[in-house]
Amino acid sequence: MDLSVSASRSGDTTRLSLTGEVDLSTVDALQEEIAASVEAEDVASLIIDLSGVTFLDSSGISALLKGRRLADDRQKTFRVEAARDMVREVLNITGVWEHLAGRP
Amino acid sequence: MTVGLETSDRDERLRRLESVTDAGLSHLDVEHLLVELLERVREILEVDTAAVLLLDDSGQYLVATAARGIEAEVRQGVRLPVGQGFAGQIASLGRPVRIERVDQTKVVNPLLLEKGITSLLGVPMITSGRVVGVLHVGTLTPRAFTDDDVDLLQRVADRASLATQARVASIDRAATVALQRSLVPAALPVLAGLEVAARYVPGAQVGVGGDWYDLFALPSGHVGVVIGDVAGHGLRAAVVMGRIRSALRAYALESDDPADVLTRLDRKIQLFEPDAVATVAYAVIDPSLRRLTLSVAGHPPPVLAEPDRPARSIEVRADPPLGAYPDACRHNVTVPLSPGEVIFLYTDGLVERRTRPFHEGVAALLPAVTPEPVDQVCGRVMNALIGDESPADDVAVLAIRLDG
Repeated sequence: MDLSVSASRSGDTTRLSLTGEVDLSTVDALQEEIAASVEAEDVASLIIDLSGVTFLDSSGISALLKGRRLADDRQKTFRVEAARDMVREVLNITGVWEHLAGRP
Repeated sequence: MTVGLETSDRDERLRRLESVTDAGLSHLDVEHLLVELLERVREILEVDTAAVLLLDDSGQYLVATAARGIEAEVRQGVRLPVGQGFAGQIASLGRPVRIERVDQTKVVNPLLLEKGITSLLGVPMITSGRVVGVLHVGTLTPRAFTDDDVDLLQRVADRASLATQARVASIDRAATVALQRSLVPAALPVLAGLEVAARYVPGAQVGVGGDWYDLFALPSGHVGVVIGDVAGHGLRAAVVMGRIRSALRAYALESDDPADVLTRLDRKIQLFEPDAVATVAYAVIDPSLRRLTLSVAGHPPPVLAEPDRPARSIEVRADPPLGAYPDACRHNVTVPLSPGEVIFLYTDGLVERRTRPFHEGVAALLPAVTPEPVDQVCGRVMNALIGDESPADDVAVLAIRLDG
């Protein structure tokens, strides 16, 4: 299954809404999308909406962590939200949910 | 000069080009294939020098990989920055460049000037829309390269990039498998009082990945038990895994406290492998074999099977993976051990499926882990969780039983 990413903008906040599966075959595109959004000059805050994600593997977790790190480096905020139970469970087991969902 | 080639000449040149790279060359390794290709290019295009420079892993430099007529390029290990000079420009522009009169303003590679090359033509080598290198030819006498010349050289470059990528990929695969085998040995050390067994299965989708397990006796009498998973796959993940595995052993020599070892390892990864993310479960069994101390970095908790009660996942706080973010706080949990018990460690590939939540995978695992001889335990687990399917991700498991 594929992953689709749609971006919407409200003020200086970009929201990336993901739909589908995040795995090795889709993670590169996601990572590029996140990097481009974080690096856009007029964006101060990035929200990753996971409500449409049905599967997230370790490469996806790694991509989200890198997104957060990139945002920290640029003094921007980065937040993951609305993960379904199955995805939320994986983010909890890997001990990253609070870091990714929490405010800096 | 070759301006205004007759059609038949052009066809003849194309035909001779077709013979390049095919059957006769299929047995050659990358370097020899490229040299052979360059020799034919020299002949067909009637040029004096021909060279291939491939982009290095950083993507910042071109490295001379094969050359004819200007062999010193390779012997001296020429490295040219992308974006600068003749070859560097071709790589950054991604299109052919012709120079009719070479001078110091147009090239940065002193070898081209020393050699007395007067005219140059170079084309990018492109695979999957990405520049992977540059192929260039030169003449000692002035020459205006024609569009036909450019076209021909580009065709050679296309074939060369395909052949190079295919071979590099196959070498990478072979190296990855060899490296992985040396780092994740099927045979584990024999330690008094412990019976151990392990399994490793490469993923169907990813091939060999970054999973590993490790077991070692420390001079303090403690036993270190490791299972981990470096995010990613292929040679890169295997190399990073090798470094993390070695570093963990080194820190294990300095401390019997797993959270302390993982904290140090995390600090090392943040600094030296900034792109790496790895999950690890690291346990230390005390010399009397009566107690296990465990710290978990984003990894599924190990399973404990005791006689006369159902197996359970060890309750431990899930600290973040190594490399996740700086200065993560790490915790230990200590569990009493008794003779006959089995400690079972695994990577997420064993239980993670697209079709069910993680905890259902763990629920399917627990009944298969029993306080019995560990080879049987591993066999039963693999049969129950993997069966006939090929797991997408790689899978590593390690089972340890305390002699009873």
